[in-house]
Amino acid sequence: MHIPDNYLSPTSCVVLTLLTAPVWFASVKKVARDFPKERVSALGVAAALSFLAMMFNVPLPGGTTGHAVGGTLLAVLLGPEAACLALSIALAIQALLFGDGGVLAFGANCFNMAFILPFGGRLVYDLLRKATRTVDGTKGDFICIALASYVGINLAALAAGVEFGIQPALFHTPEGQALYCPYPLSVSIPAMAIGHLTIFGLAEAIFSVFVYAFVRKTAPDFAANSVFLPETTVGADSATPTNAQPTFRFGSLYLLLALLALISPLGLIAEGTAWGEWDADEIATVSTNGEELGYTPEGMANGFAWSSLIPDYSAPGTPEWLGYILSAIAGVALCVVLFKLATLLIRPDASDSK
Amino acid sequence: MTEPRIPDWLLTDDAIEPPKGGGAFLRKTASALSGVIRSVRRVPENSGRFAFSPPTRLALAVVTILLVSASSVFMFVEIVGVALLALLATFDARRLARTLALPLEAYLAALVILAPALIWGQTRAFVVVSTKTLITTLTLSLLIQSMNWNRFTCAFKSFGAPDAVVFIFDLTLKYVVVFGETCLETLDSALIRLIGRDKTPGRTFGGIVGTLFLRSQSAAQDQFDAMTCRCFSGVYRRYRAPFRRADFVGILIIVALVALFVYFEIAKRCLN
Repeated sequence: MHIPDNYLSPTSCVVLTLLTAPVWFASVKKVARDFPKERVSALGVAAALSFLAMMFNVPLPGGTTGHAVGGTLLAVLLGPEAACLALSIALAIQALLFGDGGVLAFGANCFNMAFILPFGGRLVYDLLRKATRTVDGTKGDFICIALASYVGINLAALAAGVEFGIQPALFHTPEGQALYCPYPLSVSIPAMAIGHLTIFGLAEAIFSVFVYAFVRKTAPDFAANSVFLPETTVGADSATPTNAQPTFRFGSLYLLLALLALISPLGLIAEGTAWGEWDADEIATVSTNGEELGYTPEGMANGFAWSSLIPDYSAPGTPEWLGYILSAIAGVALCVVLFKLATLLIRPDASDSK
Repeated sequence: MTEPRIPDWLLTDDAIEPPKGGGAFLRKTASALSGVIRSVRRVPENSGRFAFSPPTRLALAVVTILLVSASSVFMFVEIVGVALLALLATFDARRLARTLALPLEAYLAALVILAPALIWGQTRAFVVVSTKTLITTLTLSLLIQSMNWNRFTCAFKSFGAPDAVVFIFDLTLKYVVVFGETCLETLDSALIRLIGRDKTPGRTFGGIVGTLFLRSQSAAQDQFDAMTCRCFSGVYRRYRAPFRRADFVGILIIVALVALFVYFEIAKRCLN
């Protein structure tokens, strides 16, 4: 779902960035105002978790791949605003350091994965929780989070499909050749939807439920912002009074991150490129409905090119799996470091004043 | 009985409006000086059970800096960078900020200095040199932040540095603090007396430095007398840090770094 550079026109990128800007602004304001300092550093762990989730590529018959994002999971655990910031940082690191997702298209990727996904997923989760109030707390919650994650990632995929699909209609040469993404809505929406309605949506739901179950069991403080936890499960599961000051010890979460980083090369099993993430020299030979595109759109051939430090999570001179693990460690560490530094920017009285 | 009368001169406003920037030179000097003293006197933050001893830390830092600087394979630099990043992720926010302040300043300076390389299309040189600058200064910063200055003398001695060098280094650090504090006190008193009207900052500062010089002479004589009394024979003994179990890990890391460096360099030559 990471839109690379030159698939969207610069105008589209600017518009989508401008649409995301107020969300970032409101999220920063909310997090700075409502989050205790300790929780801000927890966002680093959340960003790292999402970063790792996106490294596990899942194959789909036909040669394409996709991945979970964990956006709804973070929105449920920490709130949609916090999830938005965590995902934005993870996406920025991916784009700048690993060339995964475009630098110009950063705003567009954030619009889909850091705005639509967590806010949409959390909205669905809240609605489902209201509707299933009578269902047993734990079981009902797992079902809600699975469904919300599934819907959330599909909403984001739909948004990406629309962004891809409107490009040929809006930006083309006088001869009718697309300047950027060459696939119209009739191709892009089904292409994005098929993968996400089936395997990738399922992967997102499974990832969310597994991590959520793990977090609830091992680090209930982390989940203390969840809408229902203060009233029901945190106190019961952890034998901690619900009004007690959270301690925010994330030892088990760091272990989970380390484990995920070590097994991240599993993502290499899935060969092929995700739909809409082909290189400029690859797209001309991509066939859709049995027909090759046959040309490289001009905007892609002569577009913006960002040379990242560790392109495609691979380190030249080392085995592919080692490059993947190194990238995972670098990404996770950067997420944690950046959010730890962010705690210094928050005034000590910001959260106490409430 | 007549009522006591307040004299008129006590009722008039005695507004003091120091000229803008008055005493700024002295204030800046005092602030810089206290920064130096603070950095020399600071308490080490990494003295846990699993911490390496000072000589191992020094060796690890020196080997890292040398290998990163000498490496012609960027992958090696990246691997070291990732390892340091993982280490940084375990620090708390304040320690992180302290550790990163110096490397980021150096990195920004490197970016500015190397900007022409970017303009002339030497992107690789720009990235490689700036990244190496960041990693070597980060290694140095991690070393400085992890132990007191007096531990450095201990580490130097462990590596067989001449007694005279260790002695001078140790005395210098001690007297930086002693004279720094004297200087700071003199600056404070000068600032209070001047009440912002420092018309001749050079003269004021000259007086302070002159006083300090005279004090240093008497302190040197006192030090010499004290050492003569204690039968100083020229051999400077320092506490030798015991070899800890954690040091084995440190040595393993050094060996691994060297092995990795050699592997990448040989692999590169074979490919060429």
